[in-house]
Amino acid sequence: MAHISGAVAPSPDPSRAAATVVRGHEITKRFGEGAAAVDALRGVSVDFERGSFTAIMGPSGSGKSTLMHILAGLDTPTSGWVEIDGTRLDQLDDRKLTLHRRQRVGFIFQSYNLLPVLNAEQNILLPVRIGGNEPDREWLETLIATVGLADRRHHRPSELSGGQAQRVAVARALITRPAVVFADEPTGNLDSNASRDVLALLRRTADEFGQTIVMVTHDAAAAAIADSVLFLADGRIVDRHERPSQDQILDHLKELA
Amino acid sequence: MIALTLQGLGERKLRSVLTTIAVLLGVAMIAGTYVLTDQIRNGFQDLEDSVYRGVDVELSPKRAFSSQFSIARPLKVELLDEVRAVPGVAKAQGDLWSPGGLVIDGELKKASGGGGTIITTASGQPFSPATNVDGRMPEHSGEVALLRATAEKYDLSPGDPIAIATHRGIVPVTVVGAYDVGSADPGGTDIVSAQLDDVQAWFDREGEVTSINVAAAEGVTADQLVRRIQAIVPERVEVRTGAKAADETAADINDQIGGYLTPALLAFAGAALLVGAFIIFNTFTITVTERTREFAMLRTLGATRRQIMGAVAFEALVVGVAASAAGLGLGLLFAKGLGELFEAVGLGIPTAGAELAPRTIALSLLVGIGVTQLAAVVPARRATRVAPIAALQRGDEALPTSHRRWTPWVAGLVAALGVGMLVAGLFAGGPATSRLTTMAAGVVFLFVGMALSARWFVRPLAGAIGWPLERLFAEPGLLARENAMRNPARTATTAAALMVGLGLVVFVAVFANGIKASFDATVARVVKADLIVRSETLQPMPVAAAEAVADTPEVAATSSVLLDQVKVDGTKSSPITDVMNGVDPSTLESLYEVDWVNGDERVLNRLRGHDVLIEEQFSKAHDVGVGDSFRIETPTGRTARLRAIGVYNDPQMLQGMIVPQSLFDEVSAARDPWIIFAQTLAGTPGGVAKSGVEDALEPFPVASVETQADYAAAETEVLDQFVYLLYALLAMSIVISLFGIANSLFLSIHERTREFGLLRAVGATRAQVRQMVRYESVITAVIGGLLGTGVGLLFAFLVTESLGDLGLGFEPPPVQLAVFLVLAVAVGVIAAVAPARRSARLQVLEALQAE
Repeated sequence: MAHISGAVAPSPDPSRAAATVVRGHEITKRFGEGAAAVDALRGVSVDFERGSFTAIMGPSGSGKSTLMHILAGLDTPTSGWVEIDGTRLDQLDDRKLTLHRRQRVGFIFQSYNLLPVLNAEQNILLPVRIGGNEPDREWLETLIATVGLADRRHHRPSELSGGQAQRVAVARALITRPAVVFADEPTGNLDSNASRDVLALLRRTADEFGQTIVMVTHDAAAAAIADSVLFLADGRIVDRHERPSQDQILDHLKELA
Repeated sequence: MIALTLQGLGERKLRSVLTTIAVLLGVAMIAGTYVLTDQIRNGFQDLEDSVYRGVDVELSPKRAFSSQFSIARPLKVELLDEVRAVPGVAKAQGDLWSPGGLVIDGELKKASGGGGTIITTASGQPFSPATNVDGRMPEHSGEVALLRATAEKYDLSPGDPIAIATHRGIVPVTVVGAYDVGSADPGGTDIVSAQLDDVQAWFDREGEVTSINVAAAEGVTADQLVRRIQAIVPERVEVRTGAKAADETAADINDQIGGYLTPALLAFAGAALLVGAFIIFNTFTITVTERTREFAMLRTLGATRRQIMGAVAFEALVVGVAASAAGLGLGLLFAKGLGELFEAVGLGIPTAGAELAPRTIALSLLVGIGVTQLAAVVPARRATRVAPIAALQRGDEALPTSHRRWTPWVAGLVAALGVGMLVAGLFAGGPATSRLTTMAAGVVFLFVGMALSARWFVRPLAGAIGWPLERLFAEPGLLARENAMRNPARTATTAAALMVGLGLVVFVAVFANGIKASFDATVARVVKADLIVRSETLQPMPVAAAEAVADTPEVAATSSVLLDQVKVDGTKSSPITDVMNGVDPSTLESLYEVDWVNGDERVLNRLRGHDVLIEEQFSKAHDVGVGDSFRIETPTGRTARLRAIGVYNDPQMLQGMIVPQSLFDEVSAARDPWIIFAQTLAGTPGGVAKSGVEDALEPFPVASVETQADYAAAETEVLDQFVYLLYALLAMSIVISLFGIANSLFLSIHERTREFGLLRAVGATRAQVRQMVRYESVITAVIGGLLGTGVGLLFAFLVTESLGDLGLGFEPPPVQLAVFLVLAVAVGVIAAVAPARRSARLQVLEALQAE
């Protein structure tokens, strides 16, 4: 597979190869006001390096989804800031933020979120087409081959299984060669076989294309394929494990709970 | 269950309001129609009651039937002395009225009311209906008083010098006062009062009056007096009590107006309601689909099918009641607007104050609630088919669809039935009312059939319309097209709402264009005269005008045409076919080209005595051919037996019959020409001749001089005004469909919230999201526009075919049709404004997490 990464994978500036792609600085998030206020995040600072595959875990209500939404620019922090690929998100207006998201960020959702009126290939190309750009055909073919949907490219989402739909979503997240892909419980709706396929696909993406991935999950098996795992509890990062096994993760989660 | 329904309506406020508007406007039109026709009825009653207040007995010329072209033969003033001699008569007085013209600062003022300008006599007491409100009533020759509304319209006050256009030219007079007659709004008809001697002299009515008013002496009843007077007057004089005269006159006018105005206005209201019904149907279908899980949950909790059905029906009831109530209120406004619209095109009608009669309230409620219930039946039934298991399933797929094998057949059958009824109504025999009813039902069936079958047109049409959008606007265009195709049934119903309004607009446009084209063709074919002189008002010209034209040095020959309506063989008289044109055959020959159907030039020489030419339509209507005899009766009651000696074709200028003037004078009271054809001297430049005749006609401002081209253009303008009036009435249907499209878009956006979130997440800008919604709306609207154009063309084709022998051709105006499609695009864009804004306002994260 070396020829693929050599030919079409993002070719980062060697001097910045290990640079930080996503940086969260002292992020807090408060929902509601007064007595009913809830602090979802209580000062989170975190860096993600280029090419890293990070899982964020934590019990329900730990703030992991909120953190991801803020890192991705879908939500705004109460204080603190986020920088993606050298751009501070808090300094962008809605339009610039949208364009930045279109070019630099990929998304994978628990519920796939494919447009039912578009077929698989059109769904994959959506972020490119929305920008009014001509798709890079070679890259598209590579992605379709990688996600294994060559024979399903003209099918609509209603004709795809959950696993297939999520693989389309993965390809869609990669089509713009984003600086970072955020995956929100990508296996949450899938059975175990389909989960395994999608996770293997994400792992390959990181390995072969050097893609930076940030994944929120509560599934220890999913987290185990990441390079590192961040543990969140009560709105704070409480731990960080490099290449933990599934059992180690489960043990740690029990401690947190 | 009821509480749940009300709560649901409250939560879906916007939708409830938009749905309500869909019915509300139609109900407003119904209510407005009745309010206006009540106002007219009360207005006339008020007017006539005032006119006859001091009159115990009225003598007037008997009319065999009413004619649009002539006033009754007046009474001799000598009759007045005979009446005064009748015992029990305290006082008797003659009145005279005539159509005329008001000239202010040298300019003829055209009245905006259907009654035109009327010059009448100022009666003395106790007969005068006038309440003097400014200055005084005329006491000397050369003085006039004006109806207050007329004086105010032209800003005239006592002392102002004005002039009256009379049969003897323009007569200068002085305004001495203003007065009211009753409390009704005269609706734009101008009324001027002068002394009897003046009016008689001005209009060549010396020794004549149009009515005699009688006051009874103490102790004599009006009925007794009627009997006594009847005994001494000729049979052609009608003698009635004042009260009876007031009622009969008002009833007569109301019959004429109620006969066509009420059904015509109700037809437009019907179109608006049909559009509303489509929208209700659509909204309830979507709502029921969205609430599948809610219904299923209720079913698992033990709600019966009947209860579910009841809940949806109750929701429709609430919408219907709200819409009807609001529609009633709006109806008052609508009636006012309609009245002003009529006056704007010169057809103003007297009206009394607006009120909501119990009948209006009952009908509006019935129709509003009925239409909503009817439109909600199918969706409500569908709601009952939700299985309890659907509560446990995700998504909306569980709802049983109405796509059944027989649906296309039903749709086709309904549409075919519509066309069939339309054709039957157009071509079959039978009384006009039943044919019109059949046609109206055919139109409704065709529209419903089209709406049902439209779902099969949606894909190809959306594809075709969306293609350029996709080329031009890339992804938003593609998504708009795909979204429009996504639920063909829904898009079809939404588009069908616009189809109705636009289809009728297209029909009116194509039909009117056919009339214009045939009119131009007829004028070019039959008119040999260089100039056509005719009245600018709805009244004939003075005889003296014809003499003035003939005396113009530039004019070589003239021929006048007199007009009157007749009854043929005792059948009901039609103002279109049963018309007699009195001409001098010797002068007509060089100015009018008879378009022979049966006969030739030589026949014209035999046009004398009781031998006449008949027009093709007349021939068909009365089944009369060359050599056949028939009996006519004029409004004066005189009759004659005529023989047809030739058949000609002219559906525009000289309809009905061409008869020698000697015969015309024998049977009709009309003496004033409606048309004067004039041939200019050879070698006179057209412009010089025209201005020469214009100069000669200066004393008769009512007469206008036109070349053939002017004449055709003026006729077109009159037709256009009428067409605009129809457009204005149809605009309501289009406005309603606009709300329908907006409502449908709101619902679709609501359903697809997550998709919008995803689009924004992957980088669609707010502007792109707005574009997408706007294009979807435009695609839907253009589908409606295309379907409407198709149906409208079909109507127009059928109708013109059925009227082919009137010379009507099927000639669609391409530019106008293109304009209507642009209008459809505009409807789409406007309907999308609010929904697009809402879709763009969605917060990405919230949208992504939506159910």
